[in-house]
Amino acid sequence: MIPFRTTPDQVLKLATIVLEMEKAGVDRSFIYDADELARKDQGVFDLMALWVDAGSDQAERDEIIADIQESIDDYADAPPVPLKKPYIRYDQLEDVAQRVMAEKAKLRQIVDKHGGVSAVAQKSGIPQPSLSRMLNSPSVPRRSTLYKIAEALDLSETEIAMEWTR
Amino acid sequence: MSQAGTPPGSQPPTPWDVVITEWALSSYLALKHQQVFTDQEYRTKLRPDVELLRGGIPSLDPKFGNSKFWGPAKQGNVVVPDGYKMKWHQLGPGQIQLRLPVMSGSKMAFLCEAYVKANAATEARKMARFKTHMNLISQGRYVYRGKL
Repeated sequence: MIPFRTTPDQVLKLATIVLEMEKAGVDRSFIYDADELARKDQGVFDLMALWVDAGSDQAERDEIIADIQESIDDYADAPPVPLKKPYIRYDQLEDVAQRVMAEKAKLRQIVDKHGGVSAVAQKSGIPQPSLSRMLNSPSVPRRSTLYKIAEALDLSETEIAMEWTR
Repeated sequence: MSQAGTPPGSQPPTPWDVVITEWALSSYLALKHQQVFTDQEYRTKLRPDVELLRGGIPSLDPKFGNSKFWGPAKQGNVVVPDGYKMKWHQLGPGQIQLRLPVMSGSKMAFLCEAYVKANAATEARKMARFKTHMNLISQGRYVYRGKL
């Protein structure tokens, strides 16, 4: 059961939002994925409606695009049943964050070598705000995101591999 | 019912499982690295407060009657059913407001993506993300990173 299913009225409103996103130059495959998910998940619909409400505030729109992509990835990566993974103790969190950031710094160098965030975002199909957020935040990166980058830049598994992924 | 609310002589209720989802763990990792809260605040405030959820939802612990500490999750003015927010104020060197969305299930409290409440726009985005997380949890499609 999905407790927050998009209502029929909201599904109708999606058509207008999709047109506005396309007019603003948002990547079409991203719009397609977002639209498909927003038809069933009200949280994603809410984000798309917030994107319209943000109007000319490009920074806010970028944050929303990155959030929508997170939701798309959440569904794509979600296990079919609850999946138990090991706990990380509080006193280990900072060490993990430091290691993640060190590995992301290396990835950043690779990205810069291939023309920077915008160029790599375009090649990989990852929205630019999502790639920026991933590189700048200490959150554990998704393996699926790393594979998209690897495929776009023709990198081997060892070049893209990180100790901490989800 | 919390142990504090158990009538004398009766059996204490079974504690709820307080589940740490991957979203909660990932957000704590980022917030800790950004020094949003101090280690002391974690030990003396955040963790003990979250552990109160073992007493169940709704909790009879007096802290949960304080709307500055605990309240329903809302998207605009609309209450998100089974969704709650734990709130802390003036945390860390930045004196920020921290929010922890919590989903109530059958004797389970699911901790979701914690965030700094910076403005109304952030709040609206995080609530939308919370609804997606609740959808996935209700389908059993989540990663469990331990329990408190």
